[in-house]
Amino acid sequence: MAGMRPRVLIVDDHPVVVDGLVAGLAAHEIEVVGTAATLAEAQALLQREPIDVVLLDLRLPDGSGTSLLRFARSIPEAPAIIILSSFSSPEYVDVTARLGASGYLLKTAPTTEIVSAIRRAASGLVAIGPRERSRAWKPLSRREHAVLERLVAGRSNDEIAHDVGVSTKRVEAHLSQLYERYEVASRVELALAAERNGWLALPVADEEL
Amino acid sequence: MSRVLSTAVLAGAIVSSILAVALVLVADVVSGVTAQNEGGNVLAVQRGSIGWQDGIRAGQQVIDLRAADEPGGWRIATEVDGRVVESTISRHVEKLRAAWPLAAGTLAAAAMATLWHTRRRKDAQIAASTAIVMAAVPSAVVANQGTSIAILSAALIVPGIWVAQWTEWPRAIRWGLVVVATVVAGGWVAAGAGHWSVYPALDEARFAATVAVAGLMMATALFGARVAAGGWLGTAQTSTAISLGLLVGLVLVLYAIVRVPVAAVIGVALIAAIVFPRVRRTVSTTTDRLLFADRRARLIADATEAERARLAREIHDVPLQELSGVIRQLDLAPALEEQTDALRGVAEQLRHLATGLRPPALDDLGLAAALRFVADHAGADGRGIRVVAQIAEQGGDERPPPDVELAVLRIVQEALANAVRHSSATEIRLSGAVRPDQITIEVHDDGRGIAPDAVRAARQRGSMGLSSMEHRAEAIGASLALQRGQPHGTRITLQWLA
Repeated sequence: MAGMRPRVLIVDDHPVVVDGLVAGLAAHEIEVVGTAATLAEAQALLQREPIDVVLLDLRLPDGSGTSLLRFARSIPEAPAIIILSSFSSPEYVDVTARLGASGYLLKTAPTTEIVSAIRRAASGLVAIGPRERSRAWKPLSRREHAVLERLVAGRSNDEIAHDVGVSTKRVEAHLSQLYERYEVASRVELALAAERNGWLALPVADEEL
Repeated sequence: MSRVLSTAVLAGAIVSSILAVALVLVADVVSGVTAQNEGGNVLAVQRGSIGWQDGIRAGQQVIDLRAADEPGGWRIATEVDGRVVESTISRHVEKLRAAWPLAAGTLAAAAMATLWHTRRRKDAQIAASTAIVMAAVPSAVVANQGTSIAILSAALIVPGIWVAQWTEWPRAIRWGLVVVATVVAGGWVAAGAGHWSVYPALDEARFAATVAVAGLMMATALFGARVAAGGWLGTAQTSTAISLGLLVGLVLVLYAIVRVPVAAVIGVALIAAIVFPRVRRTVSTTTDRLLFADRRARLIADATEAERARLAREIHDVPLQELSGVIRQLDLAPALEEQTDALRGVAEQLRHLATGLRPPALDDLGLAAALRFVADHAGADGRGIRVVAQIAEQGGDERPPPDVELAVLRIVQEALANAVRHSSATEIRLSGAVRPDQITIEVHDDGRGIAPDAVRAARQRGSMGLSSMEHRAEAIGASLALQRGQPHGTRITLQWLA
């Protein structure tokens, strides 16, 4: 997708915010192909148009933006979604990331940050604002992702160690970190939760983070 | 503790009313006066009996003697120094006097239970209502029909006010009750008036009682309507009027049943209450606590929450959005970077303000995230207490009802604040699970633990924190338990089932 101009959809019910974004992004040569003021409009647009990146407000007239996150996972060619919200806390970043958001930014973030977040998200990378990144949800490392993927596939610790190319002890350490992080008590629980919540489909950390 | 007290009051009320019924049915109560037929003399009068109170004495000449309307009752007239003394003697009225002390004891227990029993107020009110009705049963069993209805109606007044508060009756039902009460009262007064000339002494009293009770019934129905609608609460005048009204009614009913002594005592109390403001205030605040304290606290809490939510929404919807739009435009003018950053600071202040009014995570993300949010903030006040939150969540887009979510959040906020302030803990653990139909939350600190005495004292002081947690839990039908933690500290468990 690099080099291509990402197609962007803005979902927000405040005209003053939408207009500002359209103008601000145009100055950075990012094309907004659609805007939606409600969840229903956004869903209709997503089913009709090919969209690369969605800028999504969490508080919408017909419900919470989190339900659009769930919806987006169910459609083919799912777009990357960046939450653009009025509030921010570790819980916001955490909950939305688990639901599959690629990024999280405050609505008052500088336009340049939003632009770079859109470019990163369009390339399948995580795009959490610097303010949020320091204290909140961290994407899985490539190795953690590999371990989790094999765990879900039902491999034993020894098999995972062999596949990933580390010691069994290292795999156990990764697993106990994953238990703590996802607040689960067993490998079965972790595997079920990972499948149910689609954690393996989330963007993986790259060297920049 | 609360259950034990309620159960004890209930059991006491039932046992004492059964005892009282047995007593009045089995015991052969002496009517008090033994007399020869007309033209003869009164042979003996028992001290304190109705005949005695009416002035009938041994040796007086009987000028009139006939049966009264109750079986075994009779009416006597004597002449003393040319003056006529009349008395209507009823075995039933006499028997009522026997039942009265037990009924009064039951009522007193009920009143004490409701006043002291601030924890689970509704349980206490149910127990007290049962006690009041049971206390009235013996009297109603032996009294004649009219008096029975008067006694039972009077007994239903206070439970009626409570029930009206619990159930939030629709307007149609409330006004329906007013109409029914008026019709019953009117018919009753008419029926009483028809008898008046035949048995003047008894009917006069009965008539007075009828009017009083009818008035009280209408007042109750009207009042229930107003209280349920949230009006008329909190004015000292309201509580004074009700307490004095109840006392007047009580005096009249008592007069109809037992004549002078008890009624005189209450009459004196009534006059004292009217004359001395201090007595009136005591009576009024007691009535207020008995009848309205919970309801008012809940209305105020609801109104406060609604107002906070409105303000938070307003801040989010208007100034925060406008600012976001303006900042976006200013970003196009790099020369104004400093001013733009200042506006970002203003936005941050507005966010902080809105978050303090109502955690936005509750609306945006649901209860589990909001609980983690308040846990993060409880630990971030510089006292070095670690707050660990582990809240599981199920249900996707489905969530518990909004009032339940808010109540649970506020209870947990209060519990965390108490633990941070008072426990000297180094770590507080918040754990539990949120499902659309079931919520379990535990707040466990490793501090010095609570002394049962301290909790009791806080409760009797009406300590805001603890009682507001309990009231909120009660309002959503959740259970709240405060225990000594294992191995140390304090553990608070909150459980809600749809």
